[in-house]
Amino acid sequence: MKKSIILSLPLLLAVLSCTGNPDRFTKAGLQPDIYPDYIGVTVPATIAPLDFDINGATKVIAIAEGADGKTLKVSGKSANFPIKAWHRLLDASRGGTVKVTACGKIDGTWKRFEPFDIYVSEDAIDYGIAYRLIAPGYQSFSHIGIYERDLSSFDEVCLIGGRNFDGCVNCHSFNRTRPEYFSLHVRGERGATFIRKNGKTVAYDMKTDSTLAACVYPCWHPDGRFIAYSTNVNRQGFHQRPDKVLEVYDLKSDLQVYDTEENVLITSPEVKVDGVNENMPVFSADGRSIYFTSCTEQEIPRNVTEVRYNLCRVDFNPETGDIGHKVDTVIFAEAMGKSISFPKPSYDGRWILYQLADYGCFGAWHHESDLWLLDLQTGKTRPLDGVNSDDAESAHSWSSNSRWFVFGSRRDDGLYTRAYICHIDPDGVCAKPFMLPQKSPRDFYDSSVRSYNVPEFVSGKADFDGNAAVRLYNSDERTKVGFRWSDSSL
Amino acid sequence: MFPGLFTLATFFFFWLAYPYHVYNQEQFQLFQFSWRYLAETLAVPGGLADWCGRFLTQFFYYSAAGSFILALLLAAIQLSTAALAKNLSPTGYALTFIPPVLLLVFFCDADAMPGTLVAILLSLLCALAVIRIRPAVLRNIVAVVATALLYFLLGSLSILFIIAFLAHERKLLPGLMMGIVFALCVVCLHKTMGYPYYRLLYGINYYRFHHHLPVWPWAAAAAEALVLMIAPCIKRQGKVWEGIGAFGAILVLGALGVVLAYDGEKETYFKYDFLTRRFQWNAILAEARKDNPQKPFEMASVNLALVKTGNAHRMFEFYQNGPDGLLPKYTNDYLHPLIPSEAYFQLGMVNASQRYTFEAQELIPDFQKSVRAYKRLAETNLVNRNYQVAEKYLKALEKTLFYRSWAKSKMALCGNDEAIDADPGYGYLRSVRLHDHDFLFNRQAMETMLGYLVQENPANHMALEYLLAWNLLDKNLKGFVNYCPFEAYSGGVPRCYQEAFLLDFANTTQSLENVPAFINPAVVTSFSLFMQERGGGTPAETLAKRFGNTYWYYYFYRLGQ
Repeated sequence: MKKSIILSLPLLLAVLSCTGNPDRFTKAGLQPDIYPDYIGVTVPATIAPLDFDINGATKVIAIAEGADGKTLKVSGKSANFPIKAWHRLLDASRGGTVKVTACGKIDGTWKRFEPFDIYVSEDAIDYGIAYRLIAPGYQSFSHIGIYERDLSSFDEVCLIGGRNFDGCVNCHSFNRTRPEYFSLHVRGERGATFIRKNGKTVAYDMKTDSTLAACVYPCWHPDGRFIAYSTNVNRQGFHQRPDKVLEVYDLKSDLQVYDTEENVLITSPEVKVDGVNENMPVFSADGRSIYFTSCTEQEIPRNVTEVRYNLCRVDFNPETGDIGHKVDTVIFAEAMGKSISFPKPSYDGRWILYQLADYGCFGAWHHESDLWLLDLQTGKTRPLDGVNSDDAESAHSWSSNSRWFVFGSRRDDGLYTRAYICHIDPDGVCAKPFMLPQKSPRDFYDSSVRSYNVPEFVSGKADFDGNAAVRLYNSDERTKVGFRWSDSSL
Repeated sequence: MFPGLFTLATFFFFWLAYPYHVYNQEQFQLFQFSWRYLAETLAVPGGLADWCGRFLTQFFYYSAAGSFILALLLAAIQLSTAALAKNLSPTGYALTFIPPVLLLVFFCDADAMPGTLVAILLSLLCALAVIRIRPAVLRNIVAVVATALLYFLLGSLSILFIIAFLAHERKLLPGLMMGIVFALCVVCLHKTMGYPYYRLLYGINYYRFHHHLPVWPWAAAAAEALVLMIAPCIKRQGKVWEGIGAFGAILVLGALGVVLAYDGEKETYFKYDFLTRRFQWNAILAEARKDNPQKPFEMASVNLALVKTGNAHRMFEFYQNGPDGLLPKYTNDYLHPLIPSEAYFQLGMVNASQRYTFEAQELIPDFQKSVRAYKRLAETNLVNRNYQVAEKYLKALEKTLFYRSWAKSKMALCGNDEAIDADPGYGYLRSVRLHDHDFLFNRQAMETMLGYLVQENPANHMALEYLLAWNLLDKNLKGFVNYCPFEAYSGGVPRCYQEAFLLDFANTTQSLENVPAFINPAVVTSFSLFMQERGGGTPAETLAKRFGNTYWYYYFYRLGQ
């Protein structure tokens, strides 16, 4: 208590000296219009400070009161909380709420708004998230990279890419948030698939004479031996209507599994069907099934709006890497006039979170794209109404304890994807999601001209030597992979 | 006197011979007065030099100001060199002009970044300051510390600080220490920031590209080192005429270098690009009459100007090189998509304009953003009702010097549909853009796309002119005849349209009888004569003299036919 008061004292003095006493401000009678919208959100106790701005306010005073009654006061252009004091506040509020009272100087007048609550969950969250930062453009990009963000602070490090690298870092994946298993596809003149396992990073040439193209969308098997990939021949098209920008579509795609021990790609005729595009494979929590999306090939781009993917499942043998020969349709989205993409099973085996859009396989560019949840116990599926917005939700992934998921949303301005984190309880009830915290968030996000693409939890620092990977990328060192058909006796 | 002459010569060179080159540099950056921009720029090795260079580049908005700044920077480098190598003979003094002359040659390249000049100048100025420190021990300590600091702030050209200091001190130990610190900086930044050694050694942002690295800045640095080391050794009692001779020889060699480095083609392209950006349609046509441009992007500018001034029917008075000269193919670079982007914007193909602009900006090789691109993206998003995205671009422009008021005026439109609908430019674009048809952009189907524009908005005269021009340039006579509203020309069908119609008529009917009344008899006579001479084997060059501005000549003799 004493420590808190001592810590708060200089701040309080600063606040009072430059702005006056909040108790004397005009009462606004309503909650503040803050950016990002953190009112009523549920956060983990270790999250970085939920700094915010009040829209229209030139100065802000914020007083956060923890469950133990201790307060933290800040003032400035934005409400930027000191990290250590913030963590103490949240730690003392686990399972309870932090009450925030905000005052804003709007049009020269100080207003005191009604307090709002931030719920502090007892469920832990992973160390951080990794994402690709990329301009939400068309075919070209200036500098892109895979970045890792510590969720307890504002620290961000570039794993690979940035201003010193010319390749297009593409689909990245960790094994159930474990960064020691890392798959990354890099496009470009020297394109390669990087796989890190057992501390060693190898650059693979994943194209074989028997497969369609390089490996694209990855998912690690829980045991860390196999990686399921789609292999895609994709294109972009550019709409001319004001409400649409572009379309990413596949001319062809297949499903394959890479065996990291035998260095072979494995596929089966059931998931490499002529006239059918199989895409976005993911392993089930027990590693004995592969879920994937599948659609009938259409004449592209003429019938691009007719492309509708269903959610399918096929058996997988984790001992041999063989793929089953009976494909089940789990959700027949076509019948709903919808299309499924990016299915992601929770690691506790209870749910599959997926994207649903009117058509196509790349919901990030579809305003109507929403997150849906499939209950694997009951088979019932539903949209996440409290989580979805009027704009595109996409590219989600689960925390290691399956109590949180992170997803990309364009709700902020309709173009630039921001990362949101959402709590989900064991019954599938989702809390209000919150935007990835940043210091002086309005200024930060206004200045940011890159999207948070494919955010994924990481349970610890990735410690990925991006410079070594760049050197590897620039070298001719590529490991060829073999190919075999799956054993049909599975 | 010599520095003054050099400054004037440099100023007039950039102002008179390279004005568009200067304008062009300003367009491909977005210098913002914000702490975040400063912090982001400083985070790169050489960041202070970059920031200062970009600060100065924003004044290139006026070519005279840009030319003056470049001239002053070059002159300041010469004066600093002379000050460091004090007590020079006339010949030694003349040698101090070698580095700025080499840098002048470097700056004939539009991708040379002014931060290079700042890095060199500040390195020399710092050396001038440090060598004045007494006592020697303190001076040496400051020099070693400054070596590290300057490397991070100015980049690898800060090695000139070491050289200038050593030229003054002429002692091994401090030089060794400074060299080790410099090398450690390079290694540390390679390890921590991941930049490859070649970029840390060349300089991260001295040149816009990092794959192709011109030798000039380092030739200038080498010359600087030599001048600092050698010039003071030249006999001080040299004759003045020797100095004048050396100065003259350097200027002549410099002029030769400038002539060799001068990229007239690029400057011509920059000119049309500049005039297009400023909507100076009549100036484009005036220049085209002088230049007779033949490259697709310049022709796209000329054709756009023809349409905007109501002179589309005069397009064959200029060299035409096919549909590419109307709406050029997309090219993967940061310069060329911008003229087609303007054409698409004016046509009402707002999304295509947005795409071309966005791509161009993303392709700026040194990862900067562009004021021009931000302006256009703000406009396309205003027209498309994406107000929050438009605001994002406008907020950034509000932090600039020369675009602040423009951005503020557009910010007032954000979210105000009525104001935009009433705006003569944006409101018009909203009215003529596509509403009913949704399709994916396909340049192979340009005729269809332009056709949709005309079909949905018959008032979109520009789209009609482009549709007709596309068919003419594509030699699709049937398409042209199908779309051309011959009956709508109350003042008579434009001559080139008559020519195209007559050609199609002759191809179809194999006769010139029963030609419609809107065809002028003189056109029929001329056509008969043309076909007669062509059939008689008259060379194309001879035909060009009499029929070079007719559609028939284009149809039969352009593009390899």
